[in-house]
Amino acid sequence: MEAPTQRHTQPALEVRGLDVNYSGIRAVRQLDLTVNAGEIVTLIGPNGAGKSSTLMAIVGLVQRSGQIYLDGQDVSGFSTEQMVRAGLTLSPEGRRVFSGLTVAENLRLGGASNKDRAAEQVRLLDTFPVLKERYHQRAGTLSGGEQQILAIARALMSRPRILLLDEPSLGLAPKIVDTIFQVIAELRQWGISVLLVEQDIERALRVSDRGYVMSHGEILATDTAANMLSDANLKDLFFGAHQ
Amino acid sequence: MEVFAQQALNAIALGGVYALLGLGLAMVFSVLGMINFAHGEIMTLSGYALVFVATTLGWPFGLAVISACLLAGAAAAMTERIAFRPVRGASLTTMLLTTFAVSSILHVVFQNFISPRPIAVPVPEWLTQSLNVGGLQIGTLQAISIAVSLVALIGLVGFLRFSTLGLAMRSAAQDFSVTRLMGISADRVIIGAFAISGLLAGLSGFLWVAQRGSVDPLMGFVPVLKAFTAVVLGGLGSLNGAVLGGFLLGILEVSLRASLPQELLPFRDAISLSIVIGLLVMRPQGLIGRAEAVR
Ligand SMILES: Nc1ncnc2c1ncn2[C@@H]1O[C@H](COP(=O)(O)OP(=O)(O)OP(=O)(O)O)[C@@H](O)[C@H]1O
Ligand SMILES: [Mg+2]
Repeated sequence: MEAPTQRHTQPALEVRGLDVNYSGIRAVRQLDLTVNAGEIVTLIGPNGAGKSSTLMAIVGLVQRSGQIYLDGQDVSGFSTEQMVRAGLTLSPEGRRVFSGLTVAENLRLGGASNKDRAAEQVRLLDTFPVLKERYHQRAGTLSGGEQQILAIARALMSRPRILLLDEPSLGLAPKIVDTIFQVIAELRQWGISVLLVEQDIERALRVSDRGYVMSHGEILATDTAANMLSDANLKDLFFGAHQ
Repeated sequence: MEVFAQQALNAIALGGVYALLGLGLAMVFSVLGMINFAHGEIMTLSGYALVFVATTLGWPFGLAVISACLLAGAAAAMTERIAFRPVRGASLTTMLLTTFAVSSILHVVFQNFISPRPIAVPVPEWLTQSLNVGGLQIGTLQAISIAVSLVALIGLVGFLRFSTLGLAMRSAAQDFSVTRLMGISADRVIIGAFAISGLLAGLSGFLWVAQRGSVDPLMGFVPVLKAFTAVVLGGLGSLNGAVLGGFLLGILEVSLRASLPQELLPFRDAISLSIVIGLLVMRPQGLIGRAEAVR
């Protein structure tokens, strides 16, 4: 994989001055970040840094202030459903598949805003044969790894241009983690830009173009993934963020 | 044997009405986590609409029933838009108080603009007759109750299984935020749940007033209490539970009516509620409710 940093110049997602407050707690403060078209960007930081809050705020599931642009268009006032229809979606932390609904029903809902959902589903079932096998099973009966694959496929059913992924490998067996990272790397070929939050920093940076480090609601550093991986200071920086 | 078959038929007919009533409450509860105590007034409204369309406009009774149901659906959707949307996301107490407020406002409207006294419903003669089938007395209304409940249940199951909005209502019952991540408008899901709840109120309202022969402003209280009992018995938050609870309540009431000695009959509602409470002490989450607390 070449380092494609120079290629991407057009921001697919631009966040400026994002703030998230939970009744008194300032979880995200004046956060700026950019994901260029075709890029995979990783957001790392210790527990409680505000990573999930950032993603939830971008999709409008928590109260936010600040500016958000999709392909240059100001979408700061968009509701969650408008964001999804505008091409940005989130696969949330903890998977959150609809456990009482079948795999088929989960996918159908994922494509609710997509007119071409039939074609999308054919493609996704080819990519994830396990979902074809479990098609009529309730999502709650799937293993954790299968549920994560379903959560990602469900998000992809809307044919997003930008996918936010919150801790997709959390708590999964190593073999399934491999599959998940393969899929993330493949999203680039599908023309989908990704903002990834991961605890497995090294693997995340290896599939990414760039990275951000955040702590206590603020971005501390940003660099290319290659530099961050080779940077001996990364660990210091990251662990420094714990204080 | 015949007595048993007769009672079973009575229980199914009554249980079907309770199931429709319970489902009306459960639809809204499943998406908002709120018991809509104004449900009974939507039923009452459909009763008045039935009288108005059948008597004042003189439309055929069947058509009047359909119009009354549609009106109830629209009215329930309107209460969502006007009263419940502004308090969405507020505390549960605020939302419950809002349902009581809507209920009281409708009472006052009925009392002052319609009549404080019962109004007769022009139930057609054929509805009050009964057939004798192999020794069983089947009232036309009873047969219609069973048919209407079954058709409504099947229709609702189909809607919840096969339409995107129906699927969204089921997924919203589990995880509202993630349902919005599917690109589905929260407003549509909620107003849809109210509209369906209103249609169910209209159907059960028709069966209820056809049985009593009249409509009055406070008529909605008893059915909403039955609906609440059915929903709690089956398990708050579960649509299947509401149906099961409705039928069980019907069976319970019919059995009590058939088996209690004459002097205890006036207490049958109290006795059936005590039995329901006893069941809930053993299974607080309801018969098929989720074990964890509901929101
Ligand atoms: N709904 C909420 N209400 C109040 N405080 C919240 C809420 N969600 C998160 N917080 C607080 O906001 C801060 C940031 O939380 P957030 O979940 O965004 O962190 P995170 O970086 O995703 O952590 P993790 O790595 O554990 O997932 C934390 O202090 C958390 O306790
Ligand atoms: Mg998180």
